[in-house]
Amino acid sequence: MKYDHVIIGTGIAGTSAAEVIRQRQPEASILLVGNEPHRLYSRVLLPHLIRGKAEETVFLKKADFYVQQRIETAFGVTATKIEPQTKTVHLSNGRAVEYGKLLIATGGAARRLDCPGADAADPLSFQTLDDARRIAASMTGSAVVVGGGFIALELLMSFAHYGIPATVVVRGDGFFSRTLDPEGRKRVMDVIRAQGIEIKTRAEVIDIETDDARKVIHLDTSESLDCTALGVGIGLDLNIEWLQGSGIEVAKGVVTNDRLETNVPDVLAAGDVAEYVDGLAGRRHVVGNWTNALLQGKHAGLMMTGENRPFEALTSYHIACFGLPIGFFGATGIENSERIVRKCDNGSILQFFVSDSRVIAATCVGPLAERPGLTALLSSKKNLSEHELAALADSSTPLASLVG
Amino acid sequence: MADKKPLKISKIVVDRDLCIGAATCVAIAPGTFQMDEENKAYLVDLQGNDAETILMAAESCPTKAIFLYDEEGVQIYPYA
Repeated sequence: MKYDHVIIGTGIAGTSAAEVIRQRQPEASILLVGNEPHRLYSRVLLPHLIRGKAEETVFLKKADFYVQQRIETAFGVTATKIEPQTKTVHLSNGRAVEYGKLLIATGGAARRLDCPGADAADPLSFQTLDDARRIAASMTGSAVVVGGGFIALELLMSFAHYGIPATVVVRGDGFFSRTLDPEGRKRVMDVIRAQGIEIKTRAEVIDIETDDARKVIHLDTSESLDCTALGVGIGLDLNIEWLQGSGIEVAKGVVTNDRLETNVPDVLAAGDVAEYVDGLAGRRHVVGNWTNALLQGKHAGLMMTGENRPFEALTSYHIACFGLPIGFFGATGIENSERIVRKCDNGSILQFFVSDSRVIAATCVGPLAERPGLTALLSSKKNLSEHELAALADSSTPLASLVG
Repeated sequence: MADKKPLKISKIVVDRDLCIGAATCVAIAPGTFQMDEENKAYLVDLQGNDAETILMAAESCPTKAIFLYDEEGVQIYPYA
């Protein structure tokens, strides 16, 4: 069966694309395929769910949305293969569908712990609604969390909410060790420790023993930790393995140009899975936040219906680490950038990532007091002078003044 | 079949406790929403964009922090 548009991925990127396509092409046929059984929900709201909010509150679309929009759906179905020569996608339900345009918005899967005993320990990942349900049901005893990023932090906050004692095992020096500056990292660690949470840094799990509800986590530091709940937040493996041999270029993610087009005609990528050319950062990278996924999904929908222009957007993600706000703006994942730190008047630590004299990303630990100025700077594509780069560290220079 | 009542938004509230500064609302309806110095979205103009665009902006919020009400004070979004 042929569809004008086939979208693989029912998350915010895929759904946003489908909506835009329907708005612009009332008669086009759209097939939306995704491996989760649920209609669109907000992953950002999952922590609220764990803390007791009703499950209905995480959904972003009414149950009749897809029928109303005449978007055909295949929930609980995976795409297994793409054959660009025949413009065919093979699905796990045995169907093969032909596409006019194809969007890959498959995101990623929570990386699994890879050590002896890991699977038997039934670790808790935290990406999906089903993960959140499992976490909510694990609030007894004590917990060990493995990881040093957003997800590990959310897991810790969930356990803390229910008074479950926890220890966290971090491979690096601390949380967000590759992204935050030393002072920022220290503040985060202090706040976490103030909760009574123990942090084991520079440690990895080498073995896990499970005896009924009890688990013993063995670290490469020779320490062993006891727990009943094991949470894991060690990264996202982008869903690109299945594209091997398809002819679609993949590297860290699905490689696209600045318009979200892959190397194969009529095939685009959007969201977490897309490794796109970012005009603001001046290079290609992957971005894993909600805003990027939504905006890329919409842009892909535009491109699939006749638009032809670059995607350029400054996006950010924010988390409150036990009340301490932390913000990540722009291309924080890019390697080899110079870092310049500013101690703000309000006490917060602002860190700029500079590449080729351009500020391409920033982090802020503590309340941000100059968002509009920061946004303007990061969106300006301006090559800063030596003087201006030096002024980045100077809290008496308003950020907006560097843009003019 | 009755004509669908045109969408009219008479009141917009941003819940600052829910707002995490994702700024999808600003990206979609910049005439209506902007970010303040403290990284929260705020209402610039109740009619800064057409009603459908404002609804799209509210729907884009990952924490459902934008509340829309009609002329009778009935909540349009988030959906009940």
